[in-house]
Amino acid sequence: MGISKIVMALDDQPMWASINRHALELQKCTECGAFRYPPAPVCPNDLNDKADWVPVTGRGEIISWVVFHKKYFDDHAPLYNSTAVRLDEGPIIVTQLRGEEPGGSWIGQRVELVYAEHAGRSQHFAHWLKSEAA
Amino acid sequence: MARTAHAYIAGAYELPERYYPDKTLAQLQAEAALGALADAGLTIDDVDGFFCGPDAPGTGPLSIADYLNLKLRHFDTTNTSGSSYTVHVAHAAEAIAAGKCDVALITLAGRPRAEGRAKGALARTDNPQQPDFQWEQPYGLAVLNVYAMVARRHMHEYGTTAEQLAWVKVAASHHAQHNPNARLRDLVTVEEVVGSPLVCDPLHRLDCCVVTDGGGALIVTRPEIAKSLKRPLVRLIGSAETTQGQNGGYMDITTSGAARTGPAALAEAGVGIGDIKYASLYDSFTITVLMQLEDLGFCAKGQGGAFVSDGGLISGTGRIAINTDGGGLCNNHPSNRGGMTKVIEAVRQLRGEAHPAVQVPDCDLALVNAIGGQLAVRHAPATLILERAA
Repeated sequence: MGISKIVMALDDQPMWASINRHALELQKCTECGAFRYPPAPVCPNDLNDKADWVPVTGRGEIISWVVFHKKYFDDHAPLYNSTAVRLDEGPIIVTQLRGEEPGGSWIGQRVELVYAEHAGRSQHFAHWLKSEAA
Repeated sequence: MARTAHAYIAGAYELPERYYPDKTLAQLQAEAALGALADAGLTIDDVDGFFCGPDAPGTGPLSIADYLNLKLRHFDTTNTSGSSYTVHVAHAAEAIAAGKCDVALITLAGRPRAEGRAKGALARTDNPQQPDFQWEQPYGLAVLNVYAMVARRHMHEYGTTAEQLAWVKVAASHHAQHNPNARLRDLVTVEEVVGSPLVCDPLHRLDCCVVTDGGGALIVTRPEIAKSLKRPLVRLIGSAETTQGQNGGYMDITTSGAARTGPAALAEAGVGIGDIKYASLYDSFTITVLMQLEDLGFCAKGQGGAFVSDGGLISGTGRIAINTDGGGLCNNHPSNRGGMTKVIEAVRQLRGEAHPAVQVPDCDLALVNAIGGQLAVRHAPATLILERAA
């Protein structure tokens, strides 16, 4: 078992630093302007290796979600969810919905990233924007 | 582009057991190799090309080539996870056409059950330096999560239901009941599949493939050698491979790369999807089959649920017979790498050597598709078109 691990290669360090500041930043290509995720040395559109680390709004829409009924990690006790969110800036990220859950399908529901300590590190989680319910 | 030279699959062998506590991995590799050679009517001295994946112990081909005393002119250790061995068939044909080898041996063996690594879909232990892994790693995601993500999204976009996915498992169980070596031989119903425990909602335990020890091997050779042997002729007439990833976070998770490899392989073969009599489709999970049926063109995108329903995949009565050995869902998924057994069952069908209860009548054209890696985030589909030759 063991706890889930983060990916912390050189490209990832600025992102995790931004998560520690509770304000997610992602790379934005200086050529085409596209945000990308996961962090990568070049833009997938044009292979430009120059990017700015830019804060994202943290708002987006759930595109899919799953609920684990089986334990795989010591720091994620069932039932726990993994939720794929398409950020308003474009890229799909994976996070975990916390707090109130939408009834029925979560897909299309609006969420906003929040931050909390988890397994000795800061991580982002999603809060349902009930007032913007789909 | 049409092929100018066709290679043949002259030998195919699947190890009979699904649990090997008393045999080494190297021994299983050897038994698989010798079984395929015996099937072809060739000997180890005829082999001059060797294709293996990382399941072969040692560095690349080195240890097993030494263990089998191979005298090689060519080798290839392409690793695309479960589709590796499907890719190897295509690469062997290319090597043969290029004159680099005459008799190519492809092996797979593993013993995850005997080694205590068959604990269902394991937590990920990949290299944390893997750059594209950020997508799923920190949120407690295991192997099956992305498949469940795809299934949920497919349900949302197309109205696919858990009961429809269950039909994929039901068909596999109908076939596996006739396979004495199958890991799971009991017939299951739709109700039993959707009533089995949720592992990762929306996928149930019975939506998942088995984990088995075992393996198999294939012999790919030149036309003149294949024709000198006494086995029915199975010819590779089309193939395609690709990779698909996250594209910087902009991927469409309900379309796999098989949407490219299927049409490309069919075009190379000069046949249509409607001509296919039998298909081996990688069935890591029920949703994996549904996605391939759509992406390969057996049905329109979004129609997979209806296509598989009511026994749509059962040999003899369904719309298309798939995985008549019981597939990875019921028969065999050695070392979590299903591409090998997919080719072996297609060869049986084209030879007319499948179990009589599941043999497709006059099966002269088959499609094999494997999805290595994981849907949505990183995978390598590989498609083969195989025909029975006179």
